[in-house]
Amino acid sequence: MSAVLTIFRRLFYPKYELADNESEAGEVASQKFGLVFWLSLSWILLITFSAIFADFLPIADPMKSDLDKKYLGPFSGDHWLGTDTIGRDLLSRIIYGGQISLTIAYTAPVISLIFGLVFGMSAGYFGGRTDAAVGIYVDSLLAFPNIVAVMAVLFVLDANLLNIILVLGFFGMVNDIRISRAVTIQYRNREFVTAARAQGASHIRILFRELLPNVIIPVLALMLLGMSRVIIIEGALAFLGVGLPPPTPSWGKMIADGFSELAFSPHVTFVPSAWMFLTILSINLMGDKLRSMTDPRSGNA
Amino acid sequence: MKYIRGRLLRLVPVFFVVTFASFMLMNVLPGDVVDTLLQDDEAEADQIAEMRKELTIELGLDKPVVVRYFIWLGNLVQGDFGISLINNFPVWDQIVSRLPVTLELLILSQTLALLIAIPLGVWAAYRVNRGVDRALSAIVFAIVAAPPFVIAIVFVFIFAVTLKWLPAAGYIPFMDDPLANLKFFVLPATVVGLLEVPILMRVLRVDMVATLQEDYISLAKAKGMSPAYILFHHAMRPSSFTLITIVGLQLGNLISGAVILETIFALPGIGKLLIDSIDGRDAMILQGGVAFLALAYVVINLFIDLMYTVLDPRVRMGGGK
Repeated sequence: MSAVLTIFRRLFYPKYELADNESEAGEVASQKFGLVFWLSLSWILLITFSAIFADFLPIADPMKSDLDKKYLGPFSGDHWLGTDTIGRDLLSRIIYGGQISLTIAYTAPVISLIFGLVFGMSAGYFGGRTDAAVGIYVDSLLAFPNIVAVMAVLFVLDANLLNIILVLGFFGMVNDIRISRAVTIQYRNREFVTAARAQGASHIRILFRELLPNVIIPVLALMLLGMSRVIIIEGALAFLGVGLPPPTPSWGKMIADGFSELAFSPHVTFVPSAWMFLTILSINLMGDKLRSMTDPRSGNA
Repeated sequence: MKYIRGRLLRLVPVFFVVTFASFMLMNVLPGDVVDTLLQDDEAEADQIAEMRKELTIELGLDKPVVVRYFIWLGNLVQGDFGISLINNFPVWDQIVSRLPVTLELLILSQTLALLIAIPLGVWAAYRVNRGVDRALSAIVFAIVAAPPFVIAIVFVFIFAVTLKWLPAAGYIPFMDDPLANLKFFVLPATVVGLLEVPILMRVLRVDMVATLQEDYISLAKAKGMSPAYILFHHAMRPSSFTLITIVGLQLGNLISGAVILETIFALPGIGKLLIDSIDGRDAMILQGGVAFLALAYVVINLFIDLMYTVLDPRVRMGGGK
């Protein structure tokens, strides 16, 4: 277990003691994240902070169109990434568009995580009928194609930011349920759980104090993959025109706007596409690294 | 037989949950349907109230939700999905008329995905942790990071805009001109297929690596059989169970991909129908389409489960997991 994750765990559980399989702290703590991880993290931090502080950055107004300067390619004068079909600055629009995508990316997976932990851990811990009921619930969730389900719910509710976050969070919980159930089953008969039970600890206490510290780490690693998932779905919704209503800039909508001019000025669609690709790739690279470090099945965790 | 009965028993509640969710989706705001039907009528205010009352009774909206659900479900299983709010055609007819397009897209992309994923997955397992395996997993990583519409745009730019080999969008029925029909499907089917390749490949690689550790594989090697024969005749079948399960479970993702790609490539399938129904605020089509897709998912997964009993004798005997 890496030092960072141990610190993370300590934050939540100050009195947490290392399980026996983590006792070789010296050897494991030296495990490196690697250059790719740090580059990915830098990119994510860069776009996050530029989105948060977009109003204070020396960038053009994302809404201001200058029809004399439309279709400018990247690296042309003031417009580093060029301008779009009606002469708006692409860099500025991408940074402002990130506000929506990143807000969703940072919040929806948290909702999935909370739902996933509640359902997954109860299924794994109690087993029997609870497990069967959660199984039916998961099967039912899976039966709705993600995009279709989200579109349909947003049809009934308003397509505002809060609802998009809630719906994406709700339909993203399947993986969190699976992982937290699997890890709970793995730990529920371990000595420390039996010991707590022998001391008369309640189910709630066992779930929170004994099992959650072990379950939370793999599920947190999974959260990064959930982030890239919701960025893709939000992008697809915006691309299809069923996301947030205009004129909010959004990556998916920028890509869709440029798509009609693909033959004439491909950069209008390719610049936000590449930006989105880099972002998702960075998150996935980080997620993959964290997952391989925390995966109970892989040897080096 | 015990296995089949277990699966069927589990599927019954899933069937009810899925249909009830689809039903409730459009019934959260019962006034909405009536309002949509009334919005074109330019009647006096007092007449509107009267018409609203009549319509509510006509649509059965005065009955309790549970009763309406079972009426709706009873109609559903008889193929009556209701009537479109916009053009007054039966929803079922519209779904059926769009079905061939979506089905063709799904079959082509699934076939393509398997044709790419199986050889590559086997190859990666055969050369596990070597150059090929690492290169393939890097490529897979890149595919996973690209949103479907971005892959589609890159393909359109290369093959339709620059090289002009394939049409950028459009559709011709298969019966009119099979070749032209397939040309319109090449790009969308490739993109949807590519989305499936990573997970199929990974799953097959993991299972294959495990199978290749088995004693009977060593025996086959010792007997001097060729690697290709061992891989595809001895190792393939026992390594393919997770793959088949994943094919079924990923169907939802495949349909999600199809919805996006049908819209981009102007293919008149169910996905396009759903997007259009959202634009036109047609709740009946949306509800019917969602219920239809979810039920298709449930039925196909049941079918795949039953296929296990053919493929794996252990399941048939009630052993296994």
